[in-house]
Amino acid sequence: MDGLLFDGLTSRPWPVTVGVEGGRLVARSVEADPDGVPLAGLDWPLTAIRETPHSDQRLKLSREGDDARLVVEVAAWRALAGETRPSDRRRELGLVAGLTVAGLGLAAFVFVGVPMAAAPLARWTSPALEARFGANMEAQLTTPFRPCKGDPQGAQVLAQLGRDLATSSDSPFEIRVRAVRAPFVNAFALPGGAILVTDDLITQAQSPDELAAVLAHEIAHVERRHAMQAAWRAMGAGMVLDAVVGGGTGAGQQAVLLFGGFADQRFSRDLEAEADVRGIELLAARDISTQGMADFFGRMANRKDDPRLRKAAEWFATHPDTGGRASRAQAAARPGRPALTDADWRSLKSVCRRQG
Amino acid sequence: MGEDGAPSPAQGETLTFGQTIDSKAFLGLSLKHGLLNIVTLTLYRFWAKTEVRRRIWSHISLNGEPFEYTGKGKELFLGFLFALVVLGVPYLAVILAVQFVNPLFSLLFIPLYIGLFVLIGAAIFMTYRYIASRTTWRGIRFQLKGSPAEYGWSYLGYGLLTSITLGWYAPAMTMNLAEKLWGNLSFGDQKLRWQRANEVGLYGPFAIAWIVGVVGYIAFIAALVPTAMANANNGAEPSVTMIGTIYAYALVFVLVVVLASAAYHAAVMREIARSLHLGEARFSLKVGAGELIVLTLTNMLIVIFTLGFLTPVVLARTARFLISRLTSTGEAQLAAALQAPQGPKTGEGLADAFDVSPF
Repeated sequence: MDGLLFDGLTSRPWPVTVGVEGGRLVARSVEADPDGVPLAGLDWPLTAIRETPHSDQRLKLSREGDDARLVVEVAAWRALAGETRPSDRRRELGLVAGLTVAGLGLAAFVFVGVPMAAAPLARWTSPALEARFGANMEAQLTTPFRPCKGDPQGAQVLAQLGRDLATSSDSPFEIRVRAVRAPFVNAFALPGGAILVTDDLITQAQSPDELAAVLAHEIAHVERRHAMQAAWRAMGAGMVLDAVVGGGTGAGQQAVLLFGGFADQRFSRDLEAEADVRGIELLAARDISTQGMADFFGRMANRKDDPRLRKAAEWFATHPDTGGRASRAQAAARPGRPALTDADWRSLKSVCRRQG
Repeated sequence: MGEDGAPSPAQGETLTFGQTIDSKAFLGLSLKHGLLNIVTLTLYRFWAKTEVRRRIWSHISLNGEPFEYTGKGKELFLGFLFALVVLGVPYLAVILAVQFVNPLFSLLFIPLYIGLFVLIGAAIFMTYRYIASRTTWRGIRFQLKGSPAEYGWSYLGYGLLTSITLGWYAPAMTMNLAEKLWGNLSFGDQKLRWQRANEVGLYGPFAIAWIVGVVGYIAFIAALVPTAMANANNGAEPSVTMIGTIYAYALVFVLVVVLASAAYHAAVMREIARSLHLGEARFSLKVGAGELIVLTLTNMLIVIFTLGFLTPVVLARTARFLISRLTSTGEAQLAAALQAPQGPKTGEGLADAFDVSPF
């Protein structure tokens, strides 16, 4: 049969005659030198040949690692060489299986392994390292969150309340509570024991017990080293996921990233629940009423009824499932003494108020 | 022509491009790739991209002989691992230094950021180089000479010039960069020549795009101010309506920009094709603004409404659009090219990270 050979050396097409000789495909150019030796040709074992569609009624034959291509008529080639070569389907299935295993392994690592390892890793991290991490973070946060410079007595009361609540905790760090200016209701436990409470939260708290409940919750975060856990998790899971998925916008990438977001939510939800339980213990240990936690979360959860509480959106972004937590806190509520005297509460309330 | 219709080496040939791309045939492929991407945590994407290219290339022909894409998924995957190390390690080191050592280390982000521009440029060049080396016709590879670093620095320099001139350098930047990509391309050992045609005026359509873009942007911001003010007054929580409004305005802005810049982009395509020569052959890409608008908008809709799932369809449609408008006059010694050396072993890792790969 006839064919057209591209020998992989030049772009010149060589008309060839094609035959099968002893399990090998042999093609020789029609053109020959004066001694009758073909100017171009090829000699491939039939088993190594790959078929790909060329155009209507034609096939392109090639073999791995070879630049040469032989174009033949389908019908003539079938008559000469028999049925279709086995395709690469098995190899592709192997590839897909391998990649699926790799993907599942990565997913298990990201969504199960890292969250499970976060707590031990955080415990294993030296407090000195966490303290340095926290100090850097605090320095970076002074720009968005200006410290409150109101009643200095109020600042002392606030810090003392934090220290009091922490006496029965196992926190490896000294608890340092500060008030900061920010346009939303929230409190943050930084790595290393610093706790920031926003002026809006202090305004929204209707009793010292409510504020004490928030502080106890944040102290529990510090004690359990949740900031460090989140850091380890972000490093392990977030970075691996981002790195694997890449910057792309293609099929599947958005879906995988979305799933990563859900896993994030679940992780922080677990940490919040843990901090609630431990916070109630800390309040009880100081004999302070735990009704404040139930009241505060309850009001946060029903914020839509109260236009003044619209600013609580930030709280919900960082404290998922506030409604459920409010009812759990309500169930666990126990009476106790007020967290602060009226005088101390009044001066604390003015910690962010400009003097004079 | 020889007796079999095959040209003998000394003869020149006129170039006739053809394509048999059926973009609907890419629907099944898209579905398969999307599902496999999810199952493999997107690791399949390198093989998916390779299969799409192989399909598209095989449906584009020159003088009856189809092109062939010889790249492999594994090569893209290895390139990705390489980029992970090159980009990830310095980035991670700086992040850790900022968090645990001293916040002043964040100053290092400035050179990293500048370096990023150079890397993006280099990534674009390396993508073209890889694709060229994996594209064959009549068994002969294409080859892109030149240096990724040089391209990367030019990318940064032209980018700075463009921002200093408030965008007015952009047409020159586009053509200068196009020269580095297309003017350094060879088919085997046959170099394509770049000779700036200057047949298509770029600054007229660019001025329209620029003015509409700037005015549109100001209008976009002005339209947002009342919404943002109203929101700031009643609390920090952005409502669904507000987010919806912002997206609606942004969509209108994008539409306006697409409409206003289509004439410019069409002119750039025509000018690039006009500036290319292979032997005595010249090229022409007859792209009009109207049809480019239709293509861009339909492609955008397909990508947005399928969350990227039908990206292969979009690529197929684009290739079909371009090749069906590509013609050539004059002759080139298409049968006389000698094989080019094998190209880079891995490809496009950086481009994958930055999402700048054209195909």
